[in-house]
Amino acid sequence: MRVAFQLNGKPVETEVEPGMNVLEFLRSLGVFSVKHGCDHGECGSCTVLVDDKPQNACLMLMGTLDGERIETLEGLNARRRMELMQAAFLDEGAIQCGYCTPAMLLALESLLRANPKPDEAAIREVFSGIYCRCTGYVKPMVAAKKVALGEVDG
Amino acid sequence: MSRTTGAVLIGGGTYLAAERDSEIIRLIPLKAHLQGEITLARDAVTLGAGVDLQTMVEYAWPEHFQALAEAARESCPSMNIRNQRTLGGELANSRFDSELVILLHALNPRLSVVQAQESTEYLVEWSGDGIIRDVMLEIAPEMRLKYLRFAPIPSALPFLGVAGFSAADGCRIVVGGNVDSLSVLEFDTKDFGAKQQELVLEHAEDTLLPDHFGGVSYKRKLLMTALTRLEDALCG
Repeated sequence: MRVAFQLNGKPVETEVEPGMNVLEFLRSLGVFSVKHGCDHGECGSCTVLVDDKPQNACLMLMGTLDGERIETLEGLNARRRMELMQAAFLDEGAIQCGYCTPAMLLALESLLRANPKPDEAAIREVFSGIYCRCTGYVKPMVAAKKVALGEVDG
Repeated sequence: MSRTTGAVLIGGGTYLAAERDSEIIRLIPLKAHLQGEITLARDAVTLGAGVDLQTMVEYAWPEHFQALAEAARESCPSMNIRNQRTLGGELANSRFDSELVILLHALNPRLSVVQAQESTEYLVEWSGDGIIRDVMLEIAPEMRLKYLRFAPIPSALPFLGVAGFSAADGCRIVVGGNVDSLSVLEFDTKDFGAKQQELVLEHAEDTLLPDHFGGVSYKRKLLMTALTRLEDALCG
């Protein structure tokens, strides 16, 4: 079936197998920031933004994408806020294996769009869909709070 | 559509994604065709079946319905997935350990259901056939709503979930969790005392399933505790 949607601000119109998931499709395009984790919505490492909200690409079928606006880290890399978030994560050592980092950055971006001054509870909430086995969330939380408080030297 | 060869109507289609079925020829996502808004009127709140669970968490509910936000959050601890799961899908799946399903059965809202024609049915009586278009929660005089969950940690599914709703003309108690069916009992009095609690225990006992959290007798005692707490919340 044919679907038309936006990917990182650019229109995409393509013939797809409706049962293929969005994760597979994006990686077939070379969008590798969207990680292949559990395939069952448990880990959130395949997070993408759909109309500004974080969702799991492994739980989205291509047949449902028509008309949606999808964003991945590739589309946000050159933006100032993303630079600040990446700097904060680096400064705080909030990355170990890095597998969940793109998802965390996207989730945080989504939060900051809706709420530029989030409190700790809101940050914890937006990370709730992302499973990090390395850091225990402590350092990503510190980095995210630094971004929210405008305390990043970038 | 469901009469067409090979066509299948599925509620909560997110679960399809894990199947990765290459034999799906065409997919018509219901979410795109259902309203995703919550509308508040003086005597009722109407939710489109396309409302996602995160919208329910963030909505500024009237005081009577605050428990719905918490139930939506507890039904799915991942915000990512709450952004995907819809109210319609939740009800169509009707999992007995879904906080939202248990609580909504206590509220017993009116559903607009589309089949060959559109009809209105109460959730407790709904057969599961058709597509839910919207869900109407009536604001009843003197209404109270309470949900109690028993799980090892907040993000785990409840092995026992108990919801109570009371209004001026009666009350309704629902028991779910790891059960073989939801137990729903209605009383035409809003006083939820010892006699009513005993009836709920009798009604729900046969639905409780033993698991590694405990046997039926343990869960029965836990249910007794929950019902006592419900009495305080609904009548105190």
